[in-house]
Amino acid sequence: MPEPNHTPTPSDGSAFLEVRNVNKTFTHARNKSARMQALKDVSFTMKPGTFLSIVGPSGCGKSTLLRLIDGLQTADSGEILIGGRPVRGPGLDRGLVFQSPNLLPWRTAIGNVGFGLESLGIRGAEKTKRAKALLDTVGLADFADFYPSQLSGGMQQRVGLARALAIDPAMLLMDEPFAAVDAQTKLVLQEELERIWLLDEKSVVFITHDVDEAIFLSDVVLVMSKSPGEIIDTVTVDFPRPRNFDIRGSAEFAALVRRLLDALRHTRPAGAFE
Amino acid sequence: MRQMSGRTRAIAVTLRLLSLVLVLAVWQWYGNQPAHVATPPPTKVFPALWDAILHQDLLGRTWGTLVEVAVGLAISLAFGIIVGFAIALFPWAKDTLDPLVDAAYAMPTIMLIPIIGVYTGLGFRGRIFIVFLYVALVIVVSTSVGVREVDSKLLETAHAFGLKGLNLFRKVLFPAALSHIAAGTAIGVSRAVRGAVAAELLLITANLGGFIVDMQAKFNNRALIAGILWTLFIGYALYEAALWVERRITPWRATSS
Amino acid sequence: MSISTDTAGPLVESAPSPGRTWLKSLAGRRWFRRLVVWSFLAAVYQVVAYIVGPFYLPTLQAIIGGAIDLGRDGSLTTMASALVQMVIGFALSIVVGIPLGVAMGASRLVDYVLGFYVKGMFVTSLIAVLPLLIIVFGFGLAYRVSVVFLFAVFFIILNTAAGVRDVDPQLVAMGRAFGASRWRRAATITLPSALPFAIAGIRIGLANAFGGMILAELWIARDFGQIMLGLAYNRDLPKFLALLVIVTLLASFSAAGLKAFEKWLTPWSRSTRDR
Repeated sequence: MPEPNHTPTPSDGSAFLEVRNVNKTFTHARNKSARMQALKDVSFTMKPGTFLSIVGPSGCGKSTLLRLIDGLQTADSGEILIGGRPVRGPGLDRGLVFQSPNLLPWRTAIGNVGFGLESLGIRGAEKTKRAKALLDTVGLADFADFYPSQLSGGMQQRVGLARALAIDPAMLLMDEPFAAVDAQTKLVLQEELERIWLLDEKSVVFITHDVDEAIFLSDVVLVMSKSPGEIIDTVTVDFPRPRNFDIRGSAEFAALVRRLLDALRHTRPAGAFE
Repeated sequence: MRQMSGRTRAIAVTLRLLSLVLVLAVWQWYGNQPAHVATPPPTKVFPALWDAILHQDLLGRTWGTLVEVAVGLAISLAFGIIVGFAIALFPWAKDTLDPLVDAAYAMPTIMLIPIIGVYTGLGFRGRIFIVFLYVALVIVVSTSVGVREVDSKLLETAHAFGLKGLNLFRKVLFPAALSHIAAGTAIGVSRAVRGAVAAELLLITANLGGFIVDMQAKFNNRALIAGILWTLFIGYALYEAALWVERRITPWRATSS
Repeated sequence: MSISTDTAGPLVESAPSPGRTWLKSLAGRRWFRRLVVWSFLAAVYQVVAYIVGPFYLPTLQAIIGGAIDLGRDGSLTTMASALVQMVIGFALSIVVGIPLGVAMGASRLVDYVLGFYVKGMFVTSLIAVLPLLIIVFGFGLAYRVSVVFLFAVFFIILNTAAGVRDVDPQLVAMGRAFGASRWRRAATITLPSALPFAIAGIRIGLANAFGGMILAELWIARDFGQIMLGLAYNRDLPKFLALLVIVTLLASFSAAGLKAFEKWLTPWSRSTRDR
């Protein structure tokens, strides 16, 4: 198990992702004096092949952290290293799954998966073949020719996952992907995600506000506080894999839930622009 | 105007001013060519505009056009709001009138001008009727869209508070649809000016359109171009004024450009 | 329609309630309502036409007769050549309007500088410009094309610009996250997103192109304009109204054709917006 730290650790080559003293402050678009510190001195490291979740109350900056790792935004100070190299912008070594699926409405399911493949320069028959295989992986083989508007929220999220898998990234970044689907669908999707993850054990950074979800899926859970976003606890989860529904009823699971909820409860109450 | 950084904004304002100067410079150059005597340069057109205001009652003619716009607009609003509400609230009206509204939209209104005199005479009444034809449809459509888009939750709340009939209309339906009606009216104002000028040019010469036709007949091209510019300016100014009123009437709406 | 395998089976259509009489169910049908109301309106027109007499309103059968006469005396052929000139001006407005709209939608700077003129021309009375256009272009093809162009182009520019601006920033972020270059984002995200707006602009532009064509003809009173004015002066109402109906139908059908084209081009949108 990797042991993430609150203090920056010297790079010893074993860490795959290193986040070092990252700070990010947003300024209000109109009122320049209104500022909100989204991330304060965030540091952690992660070994390859780890499923790492970050839980925190909504608005705590966890999604911002994910966008920094993907390179869609840049930090005010601090560094993010992947495989020892600093992140300079979005790259095909990272596959992003969004909170709202962000599928292209004018492309069918298979076309949206193809969007990822096109990033690798894969076209024509090879693209179709691989996109079909990916849809099969996420359980949507029969829905290749459906437009996103014809699919349920859960199915759209599966397409989004297939699109991220299409670029065969070294790391998956998932931003509350199941936040908008109903409770039953969520349970199904969580088990599906673990099954798919076990196929090749990519590194995953998974953002969620759902404590159960974080424990069920992860090797490591980081707890983040709100305003400013700081990492206040690190929890290692070692249930054997593949996990199934039954572990949710176990005493260990309940103890972990309790510990995480406790940590979250002591984070500061919500405060917007200060 | 969307957000721009200070530097970009400075560049933008400079470019806009430069483009105005450029337009005037090109026009000056074009108008000064011996071959283009028919299109005099701005240095001759703007004095002609001043002269028209002082000696040819351009402001009085403008007032005449504005009266047509105002009367035509008022009639269109009364008609358009009633029909718009009817189309939105009664399924029978929606099913049957919608295609007719579409067809009326497709009809080139201007084609009615040659025969409108048969029914209204060629005077003030005829011009008002043309303004009405230009404006009424826009009001009908914006009203019906506005009423149809009234939030159903808002309606439920109103029902829960026991609002019915006229009270429901006065306190919920009308204010909720008002922003669409106001937006439609702003467009309606610019269409009303268009209708009035079209009538003055093609039905029987009068007011601003009459000025343009007069100057064309006298081959006074300086005053002709001055009159055209003035007419364009009046249309633009009225539209901007309508937008200003729209913002005042519906302050709860975020401002649109 | 939304299909969900995650939770439920296919939706079952609710059965019609048994208590309805046939008349009630008929009254709920759109075609029936239209038949009733339109026949009523036509009947009212017919009655009014008989009362006021042919000097004010020709009967429906007189208008149909007028349409046949128009075909016989060659008026429709003259109209066709006016339509060809309109199509040239309209095509020009598309060719010019789309790139300008894209530029205005993509760049705030271009929008600020060009949009000033475009919006200004959009709201003013272009009709007033006609005498100037005649001075510059004469009475020929260039004049007629320029009128149609000016009547159509601003709708196309402004709608296209709005479409480009309307692109979902989340989709653009998605494109960046997946390493799509500026050009690939433009082709796969901005273009399809702006397409329905641009086509809507073209549709409204076409309706205005018809207006511009008629105006250009009426103003110079030659060819098709001479026919229209001649019918009006002679108070040949059956033929004039027949001509009005024909032009309106042409404009309606071409607008409906563009709507169908849009539907075919954008199969992902479940329903096309009303106007």
